[in-house]
Amino acid sequence: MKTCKALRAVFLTLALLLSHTMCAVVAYRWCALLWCGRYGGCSAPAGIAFLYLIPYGAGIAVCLLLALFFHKRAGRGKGNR
Amino acid sequence: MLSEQIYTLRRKSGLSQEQLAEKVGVSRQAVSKWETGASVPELDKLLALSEFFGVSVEELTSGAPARREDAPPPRETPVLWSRLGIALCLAGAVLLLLAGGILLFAPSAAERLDASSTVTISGSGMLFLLAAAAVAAGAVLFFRKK
Repeated sequence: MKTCKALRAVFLTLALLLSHTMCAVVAYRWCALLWCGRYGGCSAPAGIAFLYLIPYGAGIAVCLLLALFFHKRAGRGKGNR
Repeated sequence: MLSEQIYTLRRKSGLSQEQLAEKVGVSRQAVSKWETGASVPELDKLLALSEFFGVSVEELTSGAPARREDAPPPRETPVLWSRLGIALCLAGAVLLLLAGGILLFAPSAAERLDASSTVTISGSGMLFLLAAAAVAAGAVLFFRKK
């Protein structure tokens, strides 16, 4: 059960870190693309930055699912004692 | 345990108590008593039963899930795949954090990575794709039907 609790904590922390990183990366890319479009001659719209939501969203979803799974398993183990 | 095994194996074989009794060479009442636990078969009858059902005497008496000899061998334990799934998810999530960190804190490194790629997708984009693929593969391995 200790392992389940540890894994739950790890995946919850990872989900939190990923969500923060996602916000930072999307904001950074948005600004970079906006600047590049205005002054650097890039043709890509700034909205392309939102494509970074896909890998981060998938990562957050999987981490939350795994955290939920280990939370349930840890609870079941407590009930069996 | 033994009574349940005899009952289960007989039902799986699609035999009636009379038919099993005939095969083993006892009366129908004897089979009925074995199945209800009122009595236990003698050693020679136990051997005859194990031979007839194609299971070992140990399987017949221990209550372990009985398996026919011609049945496929049990599948490899899914624990290994689950652990691999967790490891892949962890690696993918850490790689995502790393890719984000590189992009935010070392943009020059990200640019070098982009310049080094020979495919249309940029190098840092490949890193993100690799991380997402690792997370997805890990999730599939972990949550697949066991």
